[in-house]
Amino acid sequence: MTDIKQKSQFKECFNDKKLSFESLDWVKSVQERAWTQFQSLGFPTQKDEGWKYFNIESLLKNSYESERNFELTSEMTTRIQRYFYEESAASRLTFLNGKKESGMTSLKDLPAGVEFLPLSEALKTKESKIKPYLGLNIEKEENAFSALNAAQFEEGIFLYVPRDTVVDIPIHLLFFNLSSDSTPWIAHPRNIIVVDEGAKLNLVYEQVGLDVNSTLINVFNQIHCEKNSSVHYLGIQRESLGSYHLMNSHVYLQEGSSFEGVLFAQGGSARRDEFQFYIEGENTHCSLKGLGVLAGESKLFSHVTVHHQKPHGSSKQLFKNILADKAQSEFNSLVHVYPQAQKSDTHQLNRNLLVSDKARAYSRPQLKIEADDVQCAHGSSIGQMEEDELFYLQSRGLNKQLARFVMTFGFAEEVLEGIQIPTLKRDLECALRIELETILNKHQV
Amino acid sequence: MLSIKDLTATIADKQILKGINLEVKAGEVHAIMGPNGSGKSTLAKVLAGAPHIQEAKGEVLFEGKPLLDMAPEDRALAGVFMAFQYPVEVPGVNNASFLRMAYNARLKAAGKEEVDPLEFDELLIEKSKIVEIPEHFLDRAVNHGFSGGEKKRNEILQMAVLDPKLALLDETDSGLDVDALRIVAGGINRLRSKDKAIILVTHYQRILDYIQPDFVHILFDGRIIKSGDKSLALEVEEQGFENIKAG
Repeated sequence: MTDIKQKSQFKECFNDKKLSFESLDWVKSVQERAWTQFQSLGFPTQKDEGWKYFNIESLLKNSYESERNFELTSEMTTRIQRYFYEESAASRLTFLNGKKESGMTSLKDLPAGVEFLPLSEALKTKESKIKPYLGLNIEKEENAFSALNAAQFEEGIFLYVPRDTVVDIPIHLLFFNLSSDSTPWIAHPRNIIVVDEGAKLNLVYEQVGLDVNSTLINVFNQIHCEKNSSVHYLGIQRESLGSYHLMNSHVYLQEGSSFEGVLFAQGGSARRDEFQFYIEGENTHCSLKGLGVLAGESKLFSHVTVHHQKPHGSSKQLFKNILADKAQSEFNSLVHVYPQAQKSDTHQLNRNLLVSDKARAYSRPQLKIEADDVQCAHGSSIGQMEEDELFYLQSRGLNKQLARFVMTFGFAEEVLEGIQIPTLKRDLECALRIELETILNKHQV
Repeated sequence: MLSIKDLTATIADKQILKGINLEVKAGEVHAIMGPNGSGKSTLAKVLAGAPHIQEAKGEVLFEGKPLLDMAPEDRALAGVFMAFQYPVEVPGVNNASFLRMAYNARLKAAGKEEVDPLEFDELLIEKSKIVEIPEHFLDRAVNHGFSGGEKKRNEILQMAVLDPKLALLDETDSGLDVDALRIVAGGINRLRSKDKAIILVTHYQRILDYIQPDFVHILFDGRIIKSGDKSLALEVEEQGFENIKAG
């Protein structure tokens, strides 16, 4: 008889109550509530609209460990350092497999009063600051994975920008997912970001997977834009194959505040990115642009809901995907304009460029309008590169190969062009260039 | 420069051009006029090598070379340029870098060294003055979010930069108000020279008030039914295409 311990499937965690912060009473009570919510929701199935195309069964039947063996070699250090960029040399917090890596962290350029630290530390030392936010609206959470995250998170960050403080240097938050062996791994990072009245924040959230197979990363972000504050957010995902990535971000906007986000996703097996915008004050602005460059069997599911609950709010979404091989994308977006939210101005646009016949894109921009004096525009397109468009470039002397590259690059660049950090923008454009050249060479016409 | 003999073309199983004969010499401006559906835009597109042309037959020689056998980009590199009736929007690619790519493709084809962005900027600013294009055009994405008039002006800027031997202007006047028309026509006039030719495809006589053609051809149902000097355009204006055909 061989003595192999049978690993339990991930879905078994539903029956196996486990909270991560039993030792801190106030956190434990939040986690108890989260666990109750998770139990009442249950795991989604493909019958749920929000999970229709996601292969949830295969995610649930895998088994994952929450610990991982890993040795930081000098070769790996060099690879990691390629993701550092000069603008954030002294405003960077690096996590390796969910744990802060002090040797790769420097926060000395942060203005006085800014708090930026691992969540596990913040829960112990910043209780009064963090208490109003942890577990906020947990009873209303509809995403079971987010409820599970609240019950079982171990790490993440707490970032607080005090009143009228301007953080103009970009803050770089880097999560590396690394492995020395093929241990399947799970993590539930939880990030709480509070930008107080009149403050400004420029945040880069980057998730990188290097040589990893089976991982499930289940992130929850909570971003509070207080009165007249402004947030620039850049979310970068570079995952290796074999990883599941779930992310749910709740953004709360108070009067006069603004949030501008750009998302860039490349690689990975299946990634579901959800954004919930809660417009809780008048005269707010939020914008979210997303770019997915998907090849192989990569899948990207983008879910956005904007709750326009107050008048004079504007929201803008532009999601673009380039799909090669058997890649898949989904854009499922709902703009909900509540009865009192007069003079709301909303845009939803999703464009998908198919480079192969086997790639699939699903697009569903939806509106629910309960106010009568609003402007709401939405649209979507799914298609291949048009011969007429290529001809325009060829008629200027560009050969067909270059014409295809220019059209595709331009398609993507419309999303990236708003990035304000020069080194990082160049770096992403370079990554995009290489990826597109590979994709287009493979799919010659 | 351009010699067209018995050119026919079919699009979606329908014969649009039914035997075109035309000789264009360096320094000349030819206006092609005709009612909707007569084939005048198709003629420009066939010469530039547009897709969706099912079959184009006949002999078309550009500086002695058979044009129909060449890929669109090779025609461009040889000196053929078409200003589009509906220029394509290329979001995410700025006008200046797009034009530099096109300009460099031409230099490379001619065996010359490519120019760097700084050198090119000087040339671009000089050219944009010729066609009265404001500098902020250059930093915008190619035609993206441009008004109809701005797109047409941008076509003329491209023509100024690429300096073609043969320019095909496909209804460049359509959709322009009087002021925009004057600016566009002024740009085209400044690009006229004795070693270049222009074929101007138009529905209306009005652009010919600004650009004086050497020849006017009336295209009707895929054939040139009448050729003459600029006075023929005025005849069209007075009598209409049908009466000229009834002749």
